[in-house]
Amino acid sequence: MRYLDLHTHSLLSCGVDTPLRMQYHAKRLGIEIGLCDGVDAGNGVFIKAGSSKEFIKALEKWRGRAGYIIIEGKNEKVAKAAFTKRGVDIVTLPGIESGWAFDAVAARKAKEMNVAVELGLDRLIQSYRMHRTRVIAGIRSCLRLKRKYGFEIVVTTGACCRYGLRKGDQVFELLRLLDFSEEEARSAMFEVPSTVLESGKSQILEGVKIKS
Amino acid sequence: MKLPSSLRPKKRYVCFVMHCDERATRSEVIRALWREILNFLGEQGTSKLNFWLMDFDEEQGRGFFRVAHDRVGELKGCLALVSEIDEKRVSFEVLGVSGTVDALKKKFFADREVVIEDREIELQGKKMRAVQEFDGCVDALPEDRELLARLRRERLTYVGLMKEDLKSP
Repeated sequence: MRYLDLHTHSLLSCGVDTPLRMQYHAKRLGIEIGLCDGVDAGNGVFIKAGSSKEFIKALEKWRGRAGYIIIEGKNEKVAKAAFTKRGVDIVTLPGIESGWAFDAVAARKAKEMNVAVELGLDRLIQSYRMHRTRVIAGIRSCLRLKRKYGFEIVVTTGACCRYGLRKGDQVFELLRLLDFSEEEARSAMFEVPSTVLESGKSQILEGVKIKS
Repeated sequence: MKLPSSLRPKKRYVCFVMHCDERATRSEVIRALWREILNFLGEQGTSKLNFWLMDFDEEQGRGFFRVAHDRVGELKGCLALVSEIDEKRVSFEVLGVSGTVDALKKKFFADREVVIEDREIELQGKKMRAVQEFDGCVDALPEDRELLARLRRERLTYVGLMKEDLKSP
């Protein structure tokens, strides 16, 4: 089962293993990964901003330089700003500790601005009992909004080490247990992430789209 | 009392490898897996799995489960949720599924060569101690405080590199 995990980190950002070691493990598991170290063009960048100003500053720095941009959706103002700015590829789904929930307004904006919503499996994997039931409820609610408003979902692991990566068929079965249909799971695991990666490669210069 | 063969549940055997910096015992693995599966699927769902850890090689971290033939997917999904055993970071990789134990062992139980070593290395100006090497991978113990803090955060023992990382400037 093909799987492209766009949100992983190596030693160059907040991870533990070198990029080569992460790539080796990904190859062993039969998956592809995108490293969010923000080091050079082609790689992704993960922006964690405390305020809208910080977010706009970081976005202007990385737009056109990074292969793709992921914004942390924990802060409500930052997340809502992310849905209005050009250049954002993915926004992470807010957790239950963030104080706001991904709602219909955000879903409509995500569809309008063609921003994908990231379902981080790390939150599901590292939670337990009651916390996990609430995380699962949040994922199901996002899935219902996706079916109604049509925005795209991207599934990632947020892996900061070799043991955070997961095999494609295991992720697929996990998504099926969370009520994703086969098509929805395949799309979230590979089709949508590939589109994000390809659109990033073709938009290297600000405002200019290069036809490959 | 044994059921007649026509009524016995059909089984599959799922081979897995457990990736971990340190070894885990068979009882630790059993405890962690049952807890995870029971928490996720509940007692009723787990009973349908007909799940049992048949064999586990503590040296290689390799083993296989028995599971009901129509619940293999659920088991794979549950294995993806396991991230630690007794505060040690782990991940479970499913290598394959088979109908018989013999076929499974022939296909998936090949030995992996691990070379234990103890030498000083340097990566990006940071000194480390290479501890073991296998398949071109090197596991190292860092001296740098920041790296040690990251290892503690991820509940890992070693930083992972490749031999190529040590060759490049």
